[in-house]
Amino acid sequence: MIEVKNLSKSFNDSKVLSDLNLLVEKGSIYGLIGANGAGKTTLIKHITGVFKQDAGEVLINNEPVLDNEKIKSRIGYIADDLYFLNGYSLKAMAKYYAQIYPHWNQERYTKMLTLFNLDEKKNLSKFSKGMRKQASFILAMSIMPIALILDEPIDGLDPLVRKKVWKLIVEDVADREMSVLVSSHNLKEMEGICDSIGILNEGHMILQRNLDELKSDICKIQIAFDGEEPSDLQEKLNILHKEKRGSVNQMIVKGNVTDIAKLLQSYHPLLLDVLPLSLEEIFIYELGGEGYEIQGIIF
Amino acid sequence: MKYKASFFSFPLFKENLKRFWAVSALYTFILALGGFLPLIMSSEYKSSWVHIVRVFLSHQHPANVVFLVSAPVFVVFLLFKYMQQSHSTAVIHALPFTRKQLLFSNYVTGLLLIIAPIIINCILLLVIKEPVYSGNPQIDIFTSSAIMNWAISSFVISLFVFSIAILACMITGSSLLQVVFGIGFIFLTPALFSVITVYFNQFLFGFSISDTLEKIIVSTSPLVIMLTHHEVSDKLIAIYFIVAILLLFVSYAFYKARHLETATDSISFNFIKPIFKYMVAFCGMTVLGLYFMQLGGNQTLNMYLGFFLGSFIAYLIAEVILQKTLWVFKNIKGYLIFLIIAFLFILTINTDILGYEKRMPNLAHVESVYVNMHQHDKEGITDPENMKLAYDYHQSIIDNKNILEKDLLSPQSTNRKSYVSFTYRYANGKEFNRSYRIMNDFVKNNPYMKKLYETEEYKNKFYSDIFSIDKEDLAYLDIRSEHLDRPGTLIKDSDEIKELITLFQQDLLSKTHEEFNNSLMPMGTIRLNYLSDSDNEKYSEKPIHALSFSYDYKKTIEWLESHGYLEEFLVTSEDIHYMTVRKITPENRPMSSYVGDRESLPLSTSELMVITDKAQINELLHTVEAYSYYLNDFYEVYIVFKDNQGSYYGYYSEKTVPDFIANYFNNQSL
Repeated sequence: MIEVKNLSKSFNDSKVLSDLNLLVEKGSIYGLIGANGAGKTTLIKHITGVFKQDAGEVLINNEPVLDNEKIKSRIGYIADDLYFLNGYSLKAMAKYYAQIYPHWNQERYTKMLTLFNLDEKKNLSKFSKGMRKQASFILAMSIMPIALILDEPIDGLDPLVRKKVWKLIVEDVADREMSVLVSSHNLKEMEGICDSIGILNEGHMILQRNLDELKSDICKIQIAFDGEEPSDLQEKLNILHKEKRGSVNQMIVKGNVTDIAKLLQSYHPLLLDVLPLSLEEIFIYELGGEGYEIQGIIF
Repeated sequence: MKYKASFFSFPLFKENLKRFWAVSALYTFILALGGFLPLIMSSEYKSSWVHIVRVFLSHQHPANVVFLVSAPVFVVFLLFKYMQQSHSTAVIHALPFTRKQLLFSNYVTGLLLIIAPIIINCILLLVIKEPVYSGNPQIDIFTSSAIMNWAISSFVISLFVFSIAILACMITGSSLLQVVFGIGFIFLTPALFSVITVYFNQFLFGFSISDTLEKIIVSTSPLVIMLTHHEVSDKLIAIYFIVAILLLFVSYAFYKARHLETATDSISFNFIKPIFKYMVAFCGMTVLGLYFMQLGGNQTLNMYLGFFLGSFIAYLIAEVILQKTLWVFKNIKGYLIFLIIAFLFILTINTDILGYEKRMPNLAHVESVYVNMHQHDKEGITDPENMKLAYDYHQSIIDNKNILEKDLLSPQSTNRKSYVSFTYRYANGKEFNRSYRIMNDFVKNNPYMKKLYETEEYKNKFYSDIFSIDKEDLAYLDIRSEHLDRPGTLIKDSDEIKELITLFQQDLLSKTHEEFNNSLMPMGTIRLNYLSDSDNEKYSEKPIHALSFSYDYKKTIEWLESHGYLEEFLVTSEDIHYMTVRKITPENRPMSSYVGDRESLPLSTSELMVITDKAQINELLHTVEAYSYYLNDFYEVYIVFKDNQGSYYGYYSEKTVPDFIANYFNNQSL
């Protein structure tokens, strides 16, 4: 379980993280999204025990992470900007990791090496960006982490490899109750993998929810009436967005999807379609009304 | 694996060694270039071993200096480079290590990487060592203890530099500045001290630092001691070792407090930023101020202009380094604060608010006084009357401050100047020091100094090295000409030795203040060879090994002549091929003396007088001076020996030049 409580951090005079809270349950995957400069990497560097917070707490399994050798030995971390010891091959890195990580699993390492088909003797600096990401992933997973922190993990990976990566992560989450925090700009992929989502904007956590709950709480409606639209409809629905295309009204409505469908049926519309929203659409409409820079967040 | 509060990670240590062992190998080779390799390569020419061994074991070889400065700094650069880049600092600190483990494990690795080249070279030297004598006297300089001393001092000095470099690394987030600070910090204290004393020397008449304080400041940097060819004592070695260990803990405190997001920042701690900025501005102010003053012939206005420009430019440079942008003009407020502080600092010194210049010690509490004497191991003047003379002499300098300072600052002054120092030692061991640079004429004509110089006590104390010569310990004397390289005259008879030394001492005692102040060229040197010279330690303890004498040492010369020794080494007109004289005036400076082919006789011209007359040459040999008393309008004498045996320069002032030379140039100018 990863827990961040009231975390604040400033770089010189500018506040980067402000009174931030976050919870990644045991055996769940948490997606962290936000625009460039929102504070995602700074938050991750606190969770991995690199940065020292100005205020608040960063806990993994209820233990503070900073300068905690024991907890850090159970954190798998794939940084956005990868770094390996100069001149080292994957084999040499694995040998080093095997000495410093007490739960290193050589069998898993060998299996993953075969799965990703990497040359372990080749100097890591000669690897492509995607191969370096894979190497980093193999190392992170072979330490048998209880918490996996991934900063832009699939950036540079081809679709097939991405699929393999997510499969292995999901297996570990299910089998070993590993907690995963993943920061990504790829909302489609996040939608398919994450249990919870947090949106970070300018150092503030502006939304943090279970993805299924979030999805069941908002929908897209296409509706047409014989004649004028009932006058009280506007009052009865929490409409975030409305658009008229010919005789069809298109609405984004917040609220329980079943209740909304039942209410609309009672007006006997000529046409009624209730559609789920993609994660990307949820963010646009959910937060657009709150005055946030949605375009900036989901680009 | 069990987790415990450990400060050391063996896997990290092992991995570091695996990564950086080559550095150690490289420095082993570099060190071998200075000692081991030249020794085995010149094994057939054992005569060259003396120089190699002496230079290498005293850390004076470039290989030593390269090793002691660069090896620790370079090793720290490699081991701690991860702290200065965002991606590496993130990944390394996410590994299961505490900062304590990272620091101490890297420290131990670094230590091993540095010590290995020293140990290997030490073993190599021990294997090939054999007696090597440092010429005359016969002192074996290539001993096991000398090699071990070299190894221990090399290790402790490099450990000291290594610890400083780590501290530098902790306070910066830049690899480049890590190296710059690592080297700079080694010299920081002496450098800052020198910078600050520039102002005191410039603005405070008589400012002086006690030798003890100066010694302490210099001691803060072993490399300064080495570069100034001084020996690093055992006591200092022990202090450096303790300080190096303490610095490790200071570095740990900084590492613990460091925010790792400051990787790539020039300075990682906010409280150091203003210190850095103002220090750079202060140094810039000093350097440009002094430079402008020299350019403008000691003009105060130029100096202040230099202060302003130097501090402004240096401040901007410091801001550029800190902000990592050229657009730093908005931070000018900090510079204005600096200007105010600098102004108050200079004003405080310049106006002598604390009354430093006029302050004199209370003679009633003074135990001894040193006038122009380096007080180390010497006794000062203790006779109350003589102390009063010294006091009055000192007071007369203060009373004439305006005249003396005016002469000092005047670019037109032609007076030669010298330093006059006073140290008053109180009964409680405390000292009162003053030092002045004043014109020689003032010293020469000062009645108090004349009286003081001519007292027996002053002579005994001032020349204590000479009066304390243990005549019984002298094996033989080797007397040579000061300028002509010919075998020396040896005096081995102990009675003759005692007699000559006693006469030399009597000559000193009868020397007048006027004679002391003339600059008569030395004509011979008595080299002292002690019976106990074969003992290494005792040799270096001897206060004096040579006595120079000029023609005014009458008793000495008479004795040498009467015993038939004088003619063996004396340079006479028969040895001289010719002499030339040029009159140096402000118009024909800088000097462009005639050198040319020594064997071909130059022609006399209006600018060059050529002397070949034996009588005239003889007169010049007796009266020529070692330097001109005044800086302008003097005569430069070029003396050429026969048979290409060399040459040397002598001088006369208008007051001392022989008539026939003065007449020659007077006639030429008519």
